[in-house]
Amino acid sequence: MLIAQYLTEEHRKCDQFYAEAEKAVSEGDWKKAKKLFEEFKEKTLLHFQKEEEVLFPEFEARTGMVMGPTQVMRHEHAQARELIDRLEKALEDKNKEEFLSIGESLMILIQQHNMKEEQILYPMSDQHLEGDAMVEKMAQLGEV
Amino acid sequence: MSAPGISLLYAPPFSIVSRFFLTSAVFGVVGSLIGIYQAVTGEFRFQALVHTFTLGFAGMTMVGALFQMLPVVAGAVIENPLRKATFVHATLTAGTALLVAGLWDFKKTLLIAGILLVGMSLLFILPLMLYKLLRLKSYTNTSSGMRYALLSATAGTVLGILAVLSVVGILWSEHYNFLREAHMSLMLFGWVGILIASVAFQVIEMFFVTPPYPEKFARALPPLILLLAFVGLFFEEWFFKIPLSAVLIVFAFLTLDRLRKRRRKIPDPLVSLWYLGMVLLIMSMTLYPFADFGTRSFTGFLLLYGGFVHSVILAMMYRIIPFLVWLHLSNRGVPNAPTMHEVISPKKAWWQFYLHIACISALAVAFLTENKMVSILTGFGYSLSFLFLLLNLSGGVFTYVRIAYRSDDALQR
Repeated sequence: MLIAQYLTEEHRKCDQFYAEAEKAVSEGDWKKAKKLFEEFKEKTLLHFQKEEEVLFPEFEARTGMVMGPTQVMRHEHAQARELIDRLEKALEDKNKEEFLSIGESLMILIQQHNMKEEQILYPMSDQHLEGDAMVEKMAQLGEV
Repeated sequence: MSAPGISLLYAPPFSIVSRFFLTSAVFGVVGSLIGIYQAVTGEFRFQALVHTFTLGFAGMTMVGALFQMLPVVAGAVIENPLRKATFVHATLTAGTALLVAGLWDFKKTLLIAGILLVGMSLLFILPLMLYKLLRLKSYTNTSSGMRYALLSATAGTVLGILAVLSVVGILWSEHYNFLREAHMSLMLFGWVGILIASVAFQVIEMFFVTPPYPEKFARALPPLILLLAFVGLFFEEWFFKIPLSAVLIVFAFLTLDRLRKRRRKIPDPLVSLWYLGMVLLIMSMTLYPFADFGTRSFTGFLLLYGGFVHSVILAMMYRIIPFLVWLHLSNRGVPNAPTMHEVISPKKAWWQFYLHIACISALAVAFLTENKMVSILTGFGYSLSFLFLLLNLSGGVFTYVRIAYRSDDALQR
């Protein structure tokens, strides 16, 4: 299996988790929203973990590009984590406007991040690394 | 191997997009004022009016947005973007102003000065962007489509320059009508149509969480639009224009269908702007085959098509500016940087949407009734709408500047 295909599918799944949580927030169903948001958060962070602990180190070791794309991706993960924390706070405060505002920024950040990964980093990874072995290693961390 | 990796590091400075967007809103206001003047005096200067919007508003926005989008969406990096953008923006702004002044009553010196500057600007940046895209190793439907858009824009600019040279009698005066028509066709369909479709392929699916566009359609659409625009140019009978209309209408319906099936169901003024844009595209392309160049129905087609482009541009601007304010502040290490709605509230975006719909409706009545009073009111409506856009975008830019300087001060202390 290609690394690109495996991780791109995870991106799409995380988007859907977010969409569900956002819908519950906009309807004011806070209990449902909390459950759905936790699912989104857990899956997104798991996806980040797969990249940061498996893909990026292997990519860096194989290509020698330590300060390249993987650093930028880590930086964007950190930005996304900060926004996810802020979303959680807004959810606890039951502040709908704030949740939707932070969520919109997060969504755009994640989408432009995903575009870069899907168009540049993943194809490069597939060029340099063994797809099947990498996918297996990442799958061991859990399923998004 | 290092080039594509390093390309990810580039986030073009915020001042690039903001200067293009703010200038385009100013041209929108100026265009509306020109419209009011023409409605009051009854002197109709179609070309001057049209180019204030096409070049000053739409072209300005699209070039600015491409500076931002090419590295992110396509992985194509423009080195030293600030210097290049400064040159392109300055020449395009001055060139558009002179060209519009020249088109007012076809003054030779102004026209030549204007087209020279516009040519310097666009024939520098468009082929450069195209070159960067052609060097990519792999393409998505978006980056692939953008190549056709930039190719059309480059050719369309050359044709525009030739049209000006022919109208002032320097060369090929006998071919003026053909040059003008070819310029218009390439710019409307090849440049703007293909660019919007290519961006939609990525933006609609990813930002609104929708099913993807059919793969074959998305791959075939850009070259098909270009090909069919050519066919329509050489064969003027209405049935030769139907295929172009058909593919663009299919694109609009597919987009409407995707939006309807979106997973993100929250009410969003920007989704409404996309909906409106697609409905106007369907209306304009239904009229297109039956609207002969230069006739009144052709003006109707042009206004509807303009409404489509205007709607989509508004949707993009209201998303891009607030996001970049957050992104650049966050990159500077500002904690809790203001997020989307704190920069421009959804209420303001909704107001923009309602104002935009009111203007389009007024314009339709003005066009159909040819009533002077309604035309003047429409002009005022559009002035207000563009002024409101300018205020909201400036507000966003101001938020960025205020917080960025405050954080710089704090760092120095």
